[in-house]
Amino acid sequence: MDAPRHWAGTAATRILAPDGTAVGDPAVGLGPDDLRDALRWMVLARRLDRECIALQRQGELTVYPGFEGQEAAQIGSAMALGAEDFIFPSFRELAVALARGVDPVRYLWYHRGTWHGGPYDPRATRFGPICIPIATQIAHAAGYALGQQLDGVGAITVAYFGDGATSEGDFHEAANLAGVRRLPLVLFCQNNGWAISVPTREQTAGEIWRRAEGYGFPGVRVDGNDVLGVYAATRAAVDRARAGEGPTLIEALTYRIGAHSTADDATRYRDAAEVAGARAFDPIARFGAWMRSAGHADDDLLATYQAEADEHALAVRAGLVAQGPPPEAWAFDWVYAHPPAPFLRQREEALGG
Amino acid sequence: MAEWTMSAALNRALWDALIDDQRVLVFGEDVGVSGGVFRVTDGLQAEFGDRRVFDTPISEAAIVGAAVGLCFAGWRPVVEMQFDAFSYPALEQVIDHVAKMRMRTRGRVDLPITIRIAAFGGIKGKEHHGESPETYYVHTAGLKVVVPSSPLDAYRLLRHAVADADPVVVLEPKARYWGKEAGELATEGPGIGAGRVLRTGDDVTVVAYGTMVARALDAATVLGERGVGARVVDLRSLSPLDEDLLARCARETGRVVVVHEAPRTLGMGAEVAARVMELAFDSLAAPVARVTGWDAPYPPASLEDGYLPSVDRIVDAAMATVAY
Amino acid sequence: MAERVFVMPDPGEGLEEGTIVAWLVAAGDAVELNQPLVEVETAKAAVEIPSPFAGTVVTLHGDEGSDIAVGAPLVTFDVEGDAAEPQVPPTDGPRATPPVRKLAKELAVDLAAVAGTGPGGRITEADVRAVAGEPDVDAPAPGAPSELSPTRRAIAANLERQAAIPQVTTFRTLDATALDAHRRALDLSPLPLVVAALGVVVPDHPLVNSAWRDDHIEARETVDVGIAVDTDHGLFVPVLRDAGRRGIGAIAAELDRLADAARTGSLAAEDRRATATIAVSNTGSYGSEAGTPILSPGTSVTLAIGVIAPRALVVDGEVAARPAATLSLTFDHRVLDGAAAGRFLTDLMAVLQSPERLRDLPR
Repeated sequence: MDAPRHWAGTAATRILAPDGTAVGDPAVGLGPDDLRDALRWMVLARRLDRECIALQRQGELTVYPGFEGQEAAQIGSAMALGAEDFIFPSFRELAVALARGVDPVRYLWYHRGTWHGGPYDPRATRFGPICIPIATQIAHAAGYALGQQLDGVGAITVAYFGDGATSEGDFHEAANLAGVRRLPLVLFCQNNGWAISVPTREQTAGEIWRRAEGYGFPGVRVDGNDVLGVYAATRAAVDRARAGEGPTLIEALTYRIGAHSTADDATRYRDAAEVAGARAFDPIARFGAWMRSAGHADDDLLATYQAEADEHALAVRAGLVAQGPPPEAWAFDWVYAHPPAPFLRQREEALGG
Repeated sequence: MAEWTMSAALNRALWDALIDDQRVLVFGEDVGVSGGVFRVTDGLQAEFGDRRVFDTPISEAAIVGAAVGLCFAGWRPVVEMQFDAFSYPALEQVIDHVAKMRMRTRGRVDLPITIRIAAFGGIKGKEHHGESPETYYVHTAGLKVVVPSSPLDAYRLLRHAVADADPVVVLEPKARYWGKEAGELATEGPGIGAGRVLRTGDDVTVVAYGTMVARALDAATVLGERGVGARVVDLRSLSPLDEDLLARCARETGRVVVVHEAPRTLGMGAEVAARVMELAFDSLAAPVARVTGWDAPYPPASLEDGYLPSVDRIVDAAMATVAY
Repeated sequence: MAERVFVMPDPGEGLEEGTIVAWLVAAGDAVELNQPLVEVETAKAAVEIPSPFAGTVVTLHGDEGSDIAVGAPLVTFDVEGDAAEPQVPPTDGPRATPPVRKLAKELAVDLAAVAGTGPGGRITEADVRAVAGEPDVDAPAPGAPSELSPTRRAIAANLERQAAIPQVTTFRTLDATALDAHRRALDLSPLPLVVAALGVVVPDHPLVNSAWRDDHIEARETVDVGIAVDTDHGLFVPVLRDAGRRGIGAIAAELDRLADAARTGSLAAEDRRATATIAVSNTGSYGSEAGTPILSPGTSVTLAIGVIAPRALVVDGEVAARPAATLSLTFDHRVLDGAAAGRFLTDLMAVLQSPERLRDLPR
């Protein structure tokens, strides 16, 4: 089976081959319980993703950007971070948010149209607001990393973004700044092959990981559907950053199985055969196969995880559909720390006192 | 009594802010060793070190974007955009994040960012060095926007801006950087949101800000010689606008002329005229007059004088208003 | 079993209609949650719409090939009673200004059921109040006075609504030594201190700052304290907003202002219309030892403070005469249970009985 087209070129590092056999050293520093957690999170995340798409079709979410196929890239990287490390996500990182302990109902307020940005507490969860303007969050991550560096606290910052984001000026500006100041930052690119309808080859003529050299720090290309490979690569980048050695750019090669969002019809620009081919590289099947062969999981455990995931998805659904619109005052309440008088007059005009 | 240029007063404001709050950072292009192209950050790096005062690459979006991230980490960034037209690469960060992040996080993250921009024309500058970008910022909900017109007020406004928990854009009129004013620097006095009356008069109110304040005062002198009492209001704060002061002056004088360098269409004059109409319609004896830059790109240095509102244009507009 | 109508959702961003390509279920079919119901083609994409319910299909609205507008009924189901009711996506509703919508929300009036008498059929404040059975506060006084004033009738109607709520009252004895000393030092009544303490304690107990909304419990961000004020015209509950952000001095001043305004009948519209998130009744101000307050609209708890008077308390195993007061907490049993109410009272008392924590309250 052919790998997705954008995986061509420099071979990505991997620990598990697509069929689940180990081609590298699986002892990446995750114990049996951690390994099972990784599998459990991936199953949970995929199930929730599918529930979200159903919820959108039922009018319970406005527009929802799915992430099916990217579970290993998200869970593997998230598990390599410490509790004090801070994440600035884009808008497709629900699996990272889950692994980070963000309440999924709160997270999904965003896609329900209940609230913008970070309906959860970004400081408490150390998971920044959902960020739609492409690549802008990378500059926030650089700034946060700069703040941590100035404070000398040893925490690192991770920016998540996609292949399309690397075409934006903010990616370049932030990466360049990170290089100049040797910031404790990990630039984690999920190259899923598509930026809405534009394939990676029309996005950039080079390989994304190679950009790092121009900024004066290392870049790595990892098989983003290999959760152990992603964990190991992220862990190495995190360790480098924590040791004061500066940023790393990780290009995780993965594949967006679904459309860009529920408002997009991918059949307009993408062959069904390509998607079917990519399914052969499914990250959960790959890791599940290895877990069985390594004796860490069996059918019963997988069934348990699936049942747990079903229950979790239904609980999130229940929490979400019960959520009515917020008070109208919320449209005004946090615009300013010190609201000016003319603004308060408008608030009164809108809310009737 | 000490005499201050606006550049020196702004420098002192940053100096004092860096002393008062250990979380204040000053960064941007050429703000470190060189002290800034207008010397506003002169000597700060030597005094406070390159940890708190530092140069960045020529990356306006990253400068402002990093400031946003620094706020998540509890810092209070003061950033410089070297010239008005070079602030535009950062507009996406300013509009999408600086202005909205507090609301987006439901008040959990304050954005006490000060964005200093050397702005406006009148220095026979190169292309892209004389623009009036205030409407972009004033039109963006979530920001506050101030424009000082004199050294002592520049000190006060910048201190208030840095201390404010909300993001503040400080548009520094580069034609006034070297103008002098004698007096003691102080933070006391009108804060953000308050305008001030610089000259009293009962016949017409001339509203201006930044470089145009001095020109409005000159025009008021000429008007006085012609027997017309012109009151001069320095807006200082473009957002929030001191609508109470505008309404009071409009009621008391019945006539309003508003002056700015920016093109007329959707300039501050439009907003001032609208507020005056809404709040003091019954007191108006004449339509609000606007004396502004033209709806054309800022011209080359040799045509600058014909573009900027002149004393004559202000006097003519005021006289027409009085004779209406 | 209950009938549920699933309306056509907007499957894209701002789409207005779709075409039914193929039904994947038929009337009479039993369906599971998320089972594909219908294939719909829109201007942006062809999508399968999954069932929001587990149940039985009663009616398919529309034939294959026909267009269906977003918001129009798509499928009617029979579902088990406990199935979640999906919310209808917003459609063009009745015409009313934001203040009127806000009032309707507060008075629990469904605007869809109100006939508008304003220009263009717009629903006015008076229309809403008429449906709610409340007097139109801005309308001229009604002609021939009946024995009951409009205020008294409004109060009665409110009380009746509140009485339908399953509410329970729990009591605690407060050793008011510290509270009494502190309020004397500040030359204030105890009420502003209690309100300030609420501002500090309530955020840790979100349920006491919540409201029952039939299908969910609504938690509120700010602590807006309704203060029961007895006046010649009856009981008023003006609202002191955002107690957590105010100091004791500001609270005292605001309480005075609200009480004066209530007594002189000059409460501003915004004070009248504000919704309390929690309520306090100072029953001690007219000498009562303890009250069993009735819940105020929109709150889940009402706290009553009895008179502070010397009582025999057991302190360190000895009986001692101490200034004491009874705190009564009435709570909506649908929102919280006795244990949660108890935990809240314990935390509140811990502040009110501690000289240090009273001193630490924001001034």
